[in-house]
Amino acid sequence: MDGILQSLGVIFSFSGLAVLIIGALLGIVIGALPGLGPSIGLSLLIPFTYNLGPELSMLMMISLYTSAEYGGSISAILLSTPGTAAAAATAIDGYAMARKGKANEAISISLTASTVGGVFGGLALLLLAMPLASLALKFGPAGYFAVGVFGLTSVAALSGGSLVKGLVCAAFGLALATIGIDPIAGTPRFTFGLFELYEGVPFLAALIGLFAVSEALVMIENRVAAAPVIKDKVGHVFMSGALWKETWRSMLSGSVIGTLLGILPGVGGNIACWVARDYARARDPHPEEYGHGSANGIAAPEASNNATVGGALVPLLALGVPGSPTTAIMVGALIMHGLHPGPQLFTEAPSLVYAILFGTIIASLVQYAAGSLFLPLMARVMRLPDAVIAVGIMAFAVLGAFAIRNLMFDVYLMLGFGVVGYLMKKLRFPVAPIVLAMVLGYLVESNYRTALVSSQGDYMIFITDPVSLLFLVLSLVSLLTPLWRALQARRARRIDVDEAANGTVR
Amino acid sequence: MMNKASAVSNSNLSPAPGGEAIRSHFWQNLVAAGIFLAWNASFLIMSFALPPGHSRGDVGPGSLPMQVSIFGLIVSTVYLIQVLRGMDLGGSSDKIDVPRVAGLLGLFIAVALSANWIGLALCLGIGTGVATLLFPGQKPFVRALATGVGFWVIAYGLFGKLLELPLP
Amino acid sequence: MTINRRTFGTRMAGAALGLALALSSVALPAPAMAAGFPEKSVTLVVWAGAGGALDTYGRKLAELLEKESGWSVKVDNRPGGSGAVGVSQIMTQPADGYNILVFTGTLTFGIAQGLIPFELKDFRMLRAMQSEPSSLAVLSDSPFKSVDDFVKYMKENPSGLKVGGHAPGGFHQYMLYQLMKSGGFESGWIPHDASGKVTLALLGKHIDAAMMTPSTGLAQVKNGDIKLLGVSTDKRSEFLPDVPTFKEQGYDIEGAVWRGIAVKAGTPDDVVTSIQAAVDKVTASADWKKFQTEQFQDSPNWNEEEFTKRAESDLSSQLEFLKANGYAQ
Repeated sequence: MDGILQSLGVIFSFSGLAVLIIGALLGIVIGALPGLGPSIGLSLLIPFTYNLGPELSMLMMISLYTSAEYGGSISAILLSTPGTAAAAATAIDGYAMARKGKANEAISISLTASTVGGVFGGLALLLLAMPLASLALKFGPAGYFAVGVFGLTSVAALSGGSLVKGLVCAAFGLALATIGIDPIAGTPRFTFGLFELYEGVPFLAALIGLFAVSEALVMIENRVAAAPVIKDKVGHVFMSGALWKETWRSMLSGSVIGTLLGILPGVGGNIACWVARDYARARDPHPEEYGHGSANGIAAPEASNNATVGGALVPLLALGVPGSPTTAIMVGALIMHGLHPGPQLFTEAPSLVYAILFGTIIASLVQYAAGSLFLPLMARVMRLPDAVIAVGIMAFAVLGAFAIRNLMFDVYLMLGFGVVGYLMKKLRFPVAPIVLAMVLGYLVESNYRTALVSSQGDYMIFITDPVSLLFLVLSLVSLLTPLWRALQARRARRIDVDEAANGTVR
Repeated sequence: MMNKASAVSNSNLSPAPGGEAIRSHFWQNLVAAGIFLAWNASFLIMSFALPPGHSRGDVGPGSLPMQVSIFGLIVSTVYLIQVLRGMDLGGSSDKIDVPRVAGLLGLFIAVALSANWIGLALCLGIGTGVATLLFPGQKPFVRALATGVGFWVIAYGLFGKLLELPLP
Repeated sequence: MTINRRTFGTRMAGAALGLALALSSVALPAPAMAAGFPEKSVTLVVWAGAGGALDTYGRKLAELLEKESGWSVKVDNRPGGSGAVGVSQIMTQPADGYNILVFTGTLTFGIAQGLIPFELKDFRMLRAMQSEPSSLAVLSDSPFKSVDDFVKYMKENPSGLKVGGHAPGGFHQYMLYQLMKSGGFESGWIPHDASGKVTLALLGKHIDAAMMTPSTGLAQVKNGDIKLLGVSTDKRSEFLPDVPTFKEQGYDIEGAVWRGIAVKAGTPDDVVTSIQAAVDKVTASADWKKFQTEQFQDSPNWNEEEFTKRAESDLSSQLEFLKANGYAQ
């Protein structure tokens, strides 16, 4: 109890609020800059938190972490350039909405959903850290494999017009995911002796090329000097009641999915965003709106990627094991203050633990306030002429690709993906399945093989492992449902066509 | 039916009605199907060259790439068949504006390549400035100068100085 | 209009050229005068991304070099290529000591597997400053109470337990291989791609035993959920006085994954002497000692000669291990 009061005292002190606000502002900017994500942001921040004391420095880091997850969506919406990998799903509907002249609305949805997701993840962390931690332990390699397969089943939903084209793209993405050093045998594959490819094709370089550069190339083809599209009034952050009514379900489902997936080590916002989008789409009465600026297509992934923050902190606090690169940096920071994370922290430094628990929730609220400050600025970005925006996309793409690993190689690779993405857009190939397959390919392969090594080649492990069985069944369901619906639709259409042939054409 | 819908959306110019558009889509899609078949075939051949696994129970480094490329071959073949049967799978109906697209791309490739000599920040500044000239609009030079200087400041100040990235 | 564009272009080009010249003259490497080394800021090239254990060490070293020796130091993260990116970064720079590589013991594994296209003689290995051992870990409710129990069981049931750890063909599997040779048993290896996942796999009973760095599962080691049967240090570690070494239990295994610094071969002796002197000041400082304790790091403090010898013997025995397990030809 003392711990709780003490921690609230720290959070609501002048310096507590100050570090939260600074963290949020930095986080939004760093998240929005492509190539820079929460983990780079935190490691740049660490030196400045030496003198802050453990509570304040953790508050600042959590605030930055949360806001960076939101910040990624800003550039995704405005420039079709996902600032972080976790904002990739948002780019699809967010950018479509912004092009329709509703950038302001898109950003307010993203900000609200991020806040809702963050608060939800924080609440789950606060109330359920211990029971949820046992969830992280239940997942063995077979379970992770099945989660990956489940994620892959959403390719169909991302395919847009032609399912075949979507599958071709998924195969392309999976092939790209196998490039690099093999996760089990340690053999370099398809690297052509380039050691820049040992860790695989850098995901963000592919992402920025496929989404952003291709978009800039499409923009230059507009011969007419397009007037700035945005005619929105600047600066309102509040979502209308109608929007709330439209999106609350996907925000909630996104939050739950994000929290649960965030707990699993190695599965973060970059995967949660796709699963959440797919889930929301499957249950939406208007699934055809997705990809053309659907509000739910922003709300679901954005709620989920912020909810992963609370989820990722669960194994850190309950077990002392970091579940993501970002939380690993937090461990480093705690160690700097002479503390070692783990269950013993609850007795050793209760005020710190509660500062982290409450901080996660409050950081989300601070992020909302800080995010609303940026809104007028962002609306102004959209008022810039197309020329400047397209060129800006290119410039940020170059800088972002370089910032991933400080390698020019990634910039060349990113430009190459830009050309591929441009040609694919021209041919109406959906690029999202490539990205999804790249994220999940590694998860699926490494865990598939680890599972087989640990069972010494016995395939039954995928059925005897309950988690694996559950997700494999779910995947089957999610594959068969659209097929079933398509069959029914075809039957219905046949009747339509017959009627049309008999009757008059409208 | 769905395919046509996707072909119309996103493009501001409505596609030329009738056989001509479908015909051009036919060639576009045929070439794409050919490329994907070739890609998957070469991937399959390369994955045969990978060594077998050496841990007990491991299926080896070549196994997944093989499965993926076989899957890829199958879906590309289906794609090819659909194209040959004359289904309109959608494609670009207006000509690609080659000089401008190539210009923008070439400019940024030049930026990336020359970054090692005169620095990435400066390159980007010049590159972005010149690139805006490729776009129509009023007062192109003022715009070019402002954009160039703006992005030089962002690259040098924000990325180079504040974030301490070792820009070349 | 065209004239306008042309003059503008020429001007920009002229300005660019002028600026480039000005920059390059500043950046031109001054001849290394050892007496005054360093005359400009020194770069620590960390071959891993920001935030990991190696980066933490690199940044602390940078901070203390500035504080204790008055140098100006920049940290440059060059992750990628299993270290090859970082190594090439210093190899493409002149051998003047201004680019110091901050790297780990995986160097020898990388060279042995042919992933890092350089040899040990391309480096001057200046100092190993941190090291961490491997340990054999099981859950506390496991029937095994000592390394002997474990070895006996594995002898009777070859590959009967799921043993795993961080990375395929890396340091921890290498230590298991040493134990296998010394104990005369066979075991498989279940690789994990992050050290945190090893702890979780052990706690979730997805593996039966792990070879891992003791500090990875520190919370569980401390509260007794995880039991360490043996540790690969020469003498008992000061951080884990209750954990017996492999040597004590009759298995002649010793090894540690180290972190240290190196420069390109051909760096003049007087420059190296200046660097060594600066590092000596760092390792003698109270800040450094406090840092090492907090991070649970041993301080091998091997000098250039010993460090090089260690790396050479590591390389040859690791090459044998990698060949035996199919990781290298």
